[in-house]
Amino acid sequence: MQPFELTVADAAAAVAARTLSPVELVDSVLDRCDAVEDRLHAYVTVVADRARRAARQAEREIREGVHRGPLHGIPYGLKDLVDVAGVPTTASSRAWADRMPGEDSTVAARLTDAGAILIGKTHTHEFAYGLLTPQTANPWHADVVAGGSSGGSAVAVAAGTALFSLGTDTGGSIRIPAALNGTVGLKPTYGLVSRHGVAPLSWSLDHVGPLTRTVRDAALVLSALAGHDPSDPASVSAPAGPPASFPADVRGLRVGVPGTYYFDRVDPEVEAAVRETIGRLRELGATVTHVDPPLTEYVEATQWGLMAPEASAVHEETLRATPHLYGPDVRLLLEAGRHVSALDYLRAQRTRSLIGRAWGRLFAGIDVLVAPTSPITAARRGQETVRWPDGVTETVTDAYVRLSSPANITGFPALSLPVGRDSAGLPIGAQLIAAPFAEPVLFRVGTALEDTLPDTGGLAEVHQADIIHSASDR
Amino acid sequence: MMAAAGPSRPSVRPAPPPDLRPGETAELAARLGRLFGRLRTLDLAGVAPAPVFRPAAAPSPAAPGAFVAAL
Repeated sequence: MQPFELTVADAAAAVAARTLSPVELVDSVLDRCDAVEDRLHAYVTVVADRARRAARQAEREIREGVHRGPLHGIPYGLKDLVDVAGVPTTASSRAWADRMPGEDSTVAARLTDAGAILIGKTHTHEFAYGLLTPQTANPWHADVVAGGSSGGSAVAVAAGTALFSLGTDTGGSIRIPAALNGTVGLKPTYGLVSRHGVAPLSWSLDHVGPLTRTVRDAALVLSALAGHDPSDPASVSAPAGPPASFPADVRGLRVGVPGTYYFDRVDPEVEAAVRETIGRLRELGATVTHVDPPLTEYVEATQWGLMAPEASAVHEETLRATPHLYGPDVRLLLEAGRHVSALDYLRAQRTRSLIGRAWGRLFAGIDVLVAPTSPITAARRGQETVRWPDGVTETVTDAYVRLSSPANITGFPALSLPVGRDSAGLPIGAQLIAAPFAEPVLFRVGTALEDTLPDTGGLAEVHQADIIHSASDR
Repeated sequence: MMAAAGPSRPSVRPAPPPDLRPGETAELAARLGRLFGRLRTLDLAGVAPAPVFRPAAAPSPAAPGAFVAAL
């Protein structure tokens, strides 16, 4: 096994035992970048020299007995919305082609303090306003999308060009690419991880979180990220730091299985894999209960009623000054968002109150909800719609966001983990949702599940074709 | 004569540029408007917007020790 193939936990153990040096590990990941990046385009920027310098410093520190914790010497990728001083943040947009941050975001600073080593900035759908990340290729199959908006972050982790990465999630943008690329993705509780220094899409829905190869790794990274930050007005004082270790034991946990919404218009192979996952939890000792998630008929309208005007407000000045620098899909969304009335925006906010309260009551009776992350696996490039057996047609984007956005509206934590593959070999993700600050429940359930799966922590076999024929230059 | 110093006036910004494809923008805006119609069927009397922006120093909505208790 090459060092780039290690999980964070295994690499951390080897680094701590001094059987693996951070320099070897970073060199291995950079070699992997050289081998596959021309096919995947996960990164906007690779900072190889900076990474090697940081690796030598980490090696020195560890040799001198200074150990910063499990992320010390671990190479990672950062979605290119997240500022690092002296490294461009482009948001994968021509509008930010020359933007050079002067200071670190809070999450980048926390990872540096933890000793993690930045490999580079990963591609996003432009300004995180989309679910495709067209610049980036899915490593599992040349003809399907990477998903998004944190597509580069998911692909880097799936392909071994980072041991973990950070993404952002406004309607599912961590969990969807995680599901489509066979990685773990965690959207933490709203406010648990600071967004200071992270380009916003929609202030009241945005979250920052990790993408990893295992649930254990997600817990390790969250431990380094979580904590109150006065620079983010939405940041909360977490009740306690999330534990970095927990029992992989689900006995006694109450698992809610949605009878409605989450299994409506879902690909049969996805449904089968998720139901098999629920059956596995029952075998492991969990109590399975059928539930009806409330007010789901208002989810789509609430998500758009919040996101569209907030995104247009975020981009108001730039759209006014340089509209031609946006891609046509994002520009269309931003222009349409200007037409949303204040009354509709407030109605969406008030509906969010109702949904949040109702979901709070739902979680009084269960510990975790288990559902598909996305109703479909990775769509073909260029595919615009999905037609369901009941005759309903929806856009691929609407399909992707349908099952993930409730956790953005409520702010509840949600984790996607790989639970199988479809007949085309494409990964399937299951989504675990818990009550606010109950990330440890997600980790418990997720770890118990992945302990039963044969290829936990494995990498994608990167396809050979370079399919980015029309790579966007934005 | 110099003008007397007074409170600074906000600068006047130019009007936003025209939409790239006005027809498509109007169509999407209309689609969103129809979607928001669903929310008008809800009884929201007495419901305030969700407090998503909590004061930074405000106590967390979760009880202390919730992480440990969850285990």
